[in-house]
Amino acid sequence: MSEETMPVEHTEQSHKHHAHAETLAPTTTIMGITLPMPLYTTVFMILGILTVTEVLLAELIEGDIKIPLLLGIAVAKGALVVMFYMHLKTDSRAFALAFLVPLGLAILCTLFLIAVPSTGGYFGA
Amino acid sequence: MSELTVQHDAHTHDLEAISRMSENYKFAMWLFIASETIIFSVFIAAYAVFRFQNKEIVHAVHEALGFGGTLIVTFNTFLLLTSSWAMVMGLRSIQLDNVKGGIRWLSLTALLGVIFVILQYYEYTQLAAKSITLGFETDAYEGFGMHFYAPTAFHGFHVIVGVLWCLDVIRRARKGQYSKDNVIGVEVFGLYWHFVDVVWILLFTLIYLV
Amino acid sequence: MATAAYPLGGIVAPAKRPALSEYLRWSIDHKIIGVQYMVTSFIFFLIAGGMAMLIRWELLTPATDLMANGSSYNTLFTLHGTMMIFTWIVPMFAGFGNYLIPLMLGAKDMAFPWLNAFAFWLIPPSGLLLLAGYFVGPAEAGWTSYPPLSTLFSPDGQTLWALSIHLLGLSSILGAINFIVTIKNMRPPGMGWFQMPLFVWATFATSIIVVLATPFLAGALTLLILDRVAGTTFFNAAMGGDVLLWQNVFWFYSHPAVYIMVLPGFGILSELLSIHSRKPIFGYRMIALSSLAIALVGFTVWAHHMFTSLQPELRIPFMITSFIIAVPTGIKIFSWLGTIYGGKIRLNSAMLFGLGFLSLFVIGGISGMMLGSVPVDIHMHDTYFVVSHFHFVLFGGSVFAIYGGIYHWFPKITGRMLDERLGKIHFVLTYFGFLFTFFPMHILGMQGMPRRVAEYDPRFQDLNVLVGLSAFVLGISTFVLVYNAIISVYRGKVAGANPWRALTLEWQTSSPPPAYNFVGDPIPFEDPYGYGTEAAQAYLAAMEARFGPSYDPEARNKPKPPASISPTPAPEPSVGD
Ligand code: HEM
Ligand SMILES: [Cu+2]
Repeated sequence: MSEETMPVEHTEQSHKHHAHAETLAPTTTIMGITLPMPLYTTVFMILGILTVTEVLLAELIEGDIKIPLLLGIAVAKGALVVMFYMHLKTDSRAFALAFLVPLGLAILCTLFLIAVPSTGGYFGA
Repeated sequence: MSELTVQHDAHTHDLEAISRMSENYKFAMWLFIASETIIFSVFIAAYAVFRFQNKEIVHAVHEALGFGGTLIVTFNTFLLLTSSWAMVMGLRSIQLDNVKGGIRWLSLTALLGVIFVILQYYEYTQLAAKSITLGFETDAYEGFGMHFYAPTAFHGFHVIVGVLWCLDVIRRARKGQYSKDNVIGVEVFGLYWHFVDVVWILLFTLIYLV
Repeated sequence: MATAAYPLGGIVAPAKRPALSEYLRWSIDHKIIGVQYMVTSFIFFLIAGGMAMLIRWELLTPATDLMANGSSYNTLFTLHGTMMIFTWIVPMFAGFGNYLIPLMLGAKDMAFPWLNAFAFWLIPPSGLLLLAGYFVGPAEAGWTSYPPLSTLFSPDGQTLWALSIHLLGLSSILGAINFIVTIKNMRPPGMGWFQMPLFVWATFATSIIVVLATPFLAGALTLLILDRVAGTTFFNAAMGGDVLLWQNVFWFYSHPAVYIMVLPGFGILSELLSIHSRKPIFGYRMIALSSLAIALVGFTVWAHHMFTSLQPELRIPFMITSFIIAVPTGIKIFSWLGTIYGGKIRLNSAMLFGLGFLSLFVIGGISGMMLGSVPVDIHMHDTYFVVSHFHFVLFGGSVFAIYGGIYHWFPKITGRMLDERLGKIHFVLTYFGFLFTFFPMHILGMQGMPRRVAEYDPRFQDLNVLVGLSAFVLGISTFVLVYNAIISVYRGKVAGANPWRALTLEWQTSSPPPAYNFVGDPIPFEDPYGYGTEAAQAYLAAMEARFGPSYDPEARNKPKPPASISPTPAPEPSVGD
């Protein structure tokens, strides 16, 4: 059956099977390298490494780059959990929309509060 | 209209119903997470504003806690990350038709959650000993206390709820309510638990490292 | 008999109604829950309305004479506003949504019936919690609850107030999640997104706002409660806090929330105007999509409530966004005018309230634009002009929509028609009572009378007396509806399945609908608003053949059938048990 001609519900269905295939397999293949552990464990390893990196960076470096760098790593970690543990990468696109729209809104509102002089004043004062 | 009634084969009908219900539950959980994202953002924004306005205070707190302080929290972070991993591994076990294994993984999830809460409580007592308090006047670090406790305690509350929910999922699993084709109850709980983990990932960096 | 015989021959009694006791206990049937929502919120409406009467009574004279002091006056307008918004308009629309969405989608129930019941049962205790403030000193910081009024200068009732709003917010988030999932996943085969009735679209857009906006309030309320009970000072500028944090976060929620309070009304209006002018909706897609546009743009305008407190550089940007948001609203207004233009309008009570909505909401929209422009708002902020503005949109808009909706769907819910004559009396009293209550407030505001005060300059007294007396008329008008509803439940003309000859699915089942709503799977009409076409005629005839005749609103204009085949007068219908 060709994917394109199937009605929506079925596409979601097939996404799910695809997702299962990926997460149920005993090995993970990233960038052509096959690791002898399930996808979930691979992600866990990466999360661990990133966390250690973060803590070390926080102790070792100083300067303007520090904050964006650390926040960037945190966002990457969060994204890994959301995409693989919460299956957002393979699940219905409606879920992604339901998560990303409020996330965007929350970030904009937070930035606003940080930026306005009467409240945060980071950029004004 | 009656001509249009379609005859369904009973078994596919069941599976279809489960799959449709699963989509409903997951979507509902994502919408709930949408709400939670916003509510957490209010606490995070309050902290972030404080952080940007009072760099020195936050630095002073970090100094006072020292590397030992960071180490405890880093350990705690690992507990939550591991519990998230145990969670998905439990889900995977049940999907592979190994409910017993799933129960073991989920028990690990709950256990790690409990230890996290205990350690957080311990951390709070340490901070209180350093006069980091909710009230502004008693707070040795002029307002750090309230901006710190509000988001972390709100998160801790979510962990406690998650542990209770996890125990309920384990109970249901032992009663045989889940199977290879019916894991929605586990999956929806998983979404919640991972979300709480993601919030912690951000809080950890934002509060303790930056 | 000279007039046509009602009920028409063939309809003897309405379908069996659920017993009264069903409504008093936990039920997971969306129809029961819908009615529970409506009746509960109506009771709160009466209470909050009573408070309004006291407010107006106090304001008949310039001095504080009815109340013991300013504080009692403060608690009155605080609870009046809070209850009207959070325990009347919001849950009332949730009630309409609950009753109608599954029916309009041809579904058996909502996606999560248990959750639905749970969301409802949060409401009565929260309402009581608000009122319980009277035992410990009630909230008196206004519905906006600005600190430091709400933190340093309010009695314990303010804490109960915050808890109560928290619970009501939770209830509406859970309800909204349920609506979104139901609408996305439970549409029947053959009903695409753009074949949904517009009320469904409106509820969908509203629910998105609820899920995105309400948690802002929840977060702010949590901080407020901490400030009040845990000794934090998030909103105390003297102690490391910031009052504007509250204002910003509150309006992050509350401007979007004004659309929570009016979008479902827009949805109801679309149904009313199309059905009762027997014409397809004009610009269906525009109406549907403008709801989504409003939902999104609604998040960009909040600071127009803070023109006088935020720093000046931000005024112009928020003035611009406030003007932009009038565009989708304008699109709707013109589409509605296009809908009724040239239609075969039936001026029944439902339609009258619909047209009332249209006329009053336009005025409220225009005063909104005036307030949205900075130079005007700097003068008008916190005056009676603002009070006038939001009553035009919330009473003239939302409440008129609710009234219209009640006349329209009462037959579906109870199986009986509301009395038309009483309905028209209700309309006239409400419309003119409303105009004379709220229009003069524009003038009072422009002359400089501040809002939220029990005492005022004697030169404002004349208009205040006019406003007060009209307000009493408006108050009384409510009881015409209550009386009408009570007698009509028992004595009203039997409605039958489809008294308005409408094409949406809720009319494709008996009134009231049976358990699980439909016998068999209903098949939606291709275009839910395809009135006047031959297809619609054939469809309606087929429906009639299937469900038996309905009360016919146009019967009076039809030639009387010859005596020989005139139906024998139906026996007095037995009262539903
Ligand atoms: C054309 C669209 C609208 C614009 C540009 C607009 C603009 C404004 C502005 C600028 C204010 C603040 C006035 C002041 O305090 O100085 C205001 C107040 C208010 N508006 Fe609107 N408005 C619009 C539509 C609506 C709608 C549709 C609703 C509700 C259904 C609504 C409900 C309210 C309420 C409740 C307040 C009073 C808030 C308070 O207690 O201070 N508005 N509006
Ligand atoms: Cu506004």
